[in-house]
Amino acid sequence: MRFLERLEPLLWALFSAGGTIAALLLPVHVFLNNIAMPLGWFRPDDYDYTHAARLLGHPLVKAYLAVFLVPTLFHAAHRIKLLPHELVLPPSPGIATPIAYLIAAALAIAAVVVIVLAP
Amino acid sequence: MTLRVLPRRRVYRRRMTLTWWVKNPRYVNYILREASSAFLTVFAVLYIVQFALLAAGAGPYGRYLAFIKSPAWVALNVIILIFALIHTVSWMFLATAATPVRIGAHEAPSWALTISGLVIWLAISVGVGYVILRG
Repeated sequence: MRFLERLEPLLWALFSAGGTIAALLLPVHVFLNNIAMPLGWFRPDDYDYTHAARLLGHPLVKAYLAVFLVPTLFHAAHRIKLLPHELVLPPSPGIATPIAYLIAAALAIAAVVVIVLAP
Repeated sequence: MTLRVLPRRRVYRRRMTLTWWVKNPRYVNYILREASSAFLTVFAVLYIVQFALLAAGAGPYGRYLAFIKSPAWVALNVIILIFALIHTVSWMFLATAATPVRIGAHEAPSWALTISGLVIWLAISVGVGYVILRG
């Protein structure tokens, strides 16, 4: 907990940056990649392996995706850590905080690894 | 970690139900906004899986493209999109209320900042969409 207290300014900065980044970038990614493409609203070669591999092969796209996903994950953790207390748990700071940040950190590492490795 | 030994006390704890927020629109607004963060994380997990399959090669990625045609996938992502939009709109209200912009002696009204934020969001969305489809 002391460790997390020391990290507070960094976590707060990530909350704020991630909130803005997710607000600006998330809807278009969900809509195009996860709804429009599966429903076949675009030409098949707009999202096949070759197209996806060419996009993800570009270093700028890799950097963009890391800057999109990592702060977004820490932004979400900042709110998720409070959700259990707002809904069911007693309203004191508890175990949810380190768990939320640990999950965010693990997912952030996983995200960077797969972004670097893909395609 | 500091350990403090406190005398046993009986603490008054107001009983809270799981649905304490449903009766007041302001609380509904608040909980929806906070809950949107969970869907941000779900989306990130889906993207991580997609990139991992892309890294695994054309075969696994082809199976991913076949899998996402299922109605359950689309339904899940419609829910994610709804919460993504809740996040975007609520953030444009929060962020512009939290960061006043002064032009000379005048303070820009927060509604103007919110609308500017939404216009910037639409412009960025078009740009990102163009790169995803044609890049």
